[in-house]
Amino acid sequence: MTTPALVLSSVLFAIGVFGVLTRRNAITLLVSVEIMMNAANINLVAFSRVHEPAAMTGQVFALLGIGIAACEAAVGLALILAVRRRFGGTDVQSIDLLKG
Amino acid sequence: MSVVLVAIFAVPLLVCAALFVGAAVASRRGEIPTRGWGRLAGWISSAGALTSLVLAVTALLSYRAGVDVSVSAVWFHVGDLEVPFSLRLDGLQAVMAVVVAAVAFLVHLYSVGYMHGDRDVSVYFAELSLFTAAMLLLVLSSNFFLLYVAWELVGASSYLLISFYFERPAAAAAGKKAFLTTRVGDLGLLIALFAIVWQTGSLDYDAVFAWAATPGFQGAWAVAIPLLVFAGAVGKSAQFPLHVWLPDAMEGPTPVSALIHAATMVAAGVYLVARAYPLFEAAPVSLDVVAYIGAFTALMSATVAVTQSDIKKVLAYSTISQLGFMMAALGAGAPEAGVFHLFTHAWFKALLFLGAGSVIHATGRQTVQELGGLVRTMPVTAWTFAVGGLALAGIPPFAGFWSKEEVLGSLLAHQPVLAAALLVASFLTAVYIGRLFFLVFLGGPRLAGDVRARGHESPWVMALPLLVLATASLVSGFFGAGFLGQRLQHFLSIGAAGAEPPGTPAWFTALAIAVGVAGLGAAWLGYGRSSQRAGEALGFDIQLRSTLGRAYGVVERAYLVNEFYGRMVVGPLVAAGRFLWLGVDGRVIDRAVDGLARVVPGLGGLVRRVQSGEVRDYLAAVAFGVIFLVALALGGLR
Repeated sequence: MTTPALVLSSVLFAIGVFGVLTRRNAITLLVSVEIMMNAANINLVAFSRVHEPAAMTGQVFALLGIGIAACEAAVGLALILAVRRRFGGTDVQSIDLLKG
Repeated sequence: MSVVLVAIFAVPLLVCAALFVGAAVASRRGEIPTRGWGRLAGWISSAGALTSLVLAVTALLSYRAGVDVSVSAVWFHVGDLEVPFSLRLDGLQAVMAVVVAAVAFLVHLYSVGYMHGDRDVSVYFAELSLFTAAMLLLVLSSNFFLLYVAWELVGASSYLLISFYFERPAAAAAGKKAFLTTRVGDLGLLIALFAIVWQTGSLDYDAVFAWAATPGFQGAWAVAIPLLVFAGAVGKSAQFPLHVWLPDAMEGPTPVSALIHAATMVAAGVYLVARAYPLFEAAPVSLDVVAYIGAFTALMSATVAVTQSDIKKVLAYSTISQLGFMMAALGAGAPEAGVFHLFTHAWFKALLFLGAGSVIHATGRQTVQELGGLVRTMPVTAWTFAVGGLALAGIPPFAGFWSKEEVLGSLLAHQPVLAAALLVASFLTAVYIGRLFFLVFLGGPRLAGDVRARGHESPWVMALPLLVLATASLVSGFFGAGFLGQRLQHFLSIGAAGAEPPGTPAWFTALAIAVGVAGLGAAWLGYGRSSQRAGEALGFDIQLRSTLGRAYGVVERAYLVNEFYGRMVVGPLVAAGRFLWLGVDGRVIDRAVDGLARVVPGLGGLVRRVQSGEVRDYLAAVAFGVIFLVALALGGLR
């Protein structure tokens, strides 16, 4: 019953990992991380339906996660904005001040 | 009463410790040693030696009175072996102790005058006291372990004293040479002691000698132990083939030479053989070895002594030769005669060395080519030297005559061939000592223009020991001559026999005297009226050199034994050392270390690339790691 949802979440997670590993643009990275998070949320909802549907714990948890993701996106975008001002772009490889 | 024996060697030892501590404290405080302090140190250590002498005489008298003065205490245990700290006194040890303490005291006294201008004389006196204490401990010990401890102490302090002028490379090398050469012999003694402990479980003289007298003392050990003990004596007493250190030891201050040659270092070897005589008696082969080596050494170094031009070198080879006489007597079954000769030799050889020191001190020169006519400016030195020379040449009634006659007589009875060899050696002895006396003290000054080379008489602290020793050189022979009651030889009581030695035939005694007189006469003919100019060779030396040609050079260089050792022993050792240094250490070990040092950074450079600093790379590693682990877990589940 949950298999399609799990497959969907796996695919989304893989897409997110792929995005994080291959892209250099900070905004794309943020988007990829959000995708991975949503894959997790899908899992939460899917498993909640199987184990204790009446309690709706998974759904509540997913909503909470989405809320936190919004905050996270705000903070992340603020950071990216600061990075862009400081380094003149959003390429993560250019942020190398600590590299010896 | 028993504390006397401990005190005899403990007093100089305490003096030594006090002087060393004083010197160390002064040097830490940065105080420069003054002459006054050096003189005080000299007097303190002379007083220590005098105390030893008084105590030794007291001990000798109480031994004669039949008082038991021996001391014994357990020192430590090793397994089943109990090592005692035991001292005792018998005739031999009592006489040795008195001789050592007396000569040491006179040398101390003399050194106060001789060393007055030198730096850190307090250290010198500390070392001299250590030397005395070690030798006294050696002769008083009642077991082989303590004897060996003292034996090594004697070696160590001789090293310190020979290389006292250590800023001179030759002196430093001479000290090292003396130490290493005697070390070779010491190894033999050490092995002999191991064998004795192994076989008997005891190191006490009485126990070991009792064992040597049993029928169980047979076979290989019975021959090997005495020979190994003799090896130690060969090293310390400078017998062929380990005699090479002694002429070099002349680099030390002259009073030290006197002490080494008369009473301490070289006497130790003769004493050891006499002490361990029961071991030798049980194996007659070893006695023959002792006799032949002694006679050979006596003859060989007597010939060398004739050719030397350095006063101290002449006396050094003379000492080797006389020690050969003693060894020959010991080997011929007459240990009393050998020790009697040691007894008389101690006085006149100390006298000769101190006389030579007096000459060197006054003139600053020590080769016969540069000296001459000193009898006018240094009469006390000259006449006491003459007494010593007559004693050495074996002219009656001087001490050397009595003991040498005893030695030759005992050899005549047992080894006539060796007696003939030693007669030749006695002739040469008279020649070289006559040559030395005539060249140094008679004639005119060879360096006429040099005021200092004319010399001056030494101060009383140096002249007094000369006079005392000259008296001893005159009378000490009478102790063995038998008209002072008990003969010294009986008093010594060495060995089992103790029988009256067969009397020397009158013709042989006459022959021995004639040989001595002939030697002195030959020396007078050859050198008595030598030219007064400074030159390469003097008097008869010129004819000898031209007649013998290269052979003379070989003898002058002591039969090239040093060169032989240099090529056969030192050369290969140095080559081996260089190979190990440059070949093994330089090529193999150093390169291995260098190679390791290059491999490690190389590997590090490779591994470093993994740490790129890119977060994404780490993330990728984590992702693939997780995938791998999950795959592994799933595979395991299945």
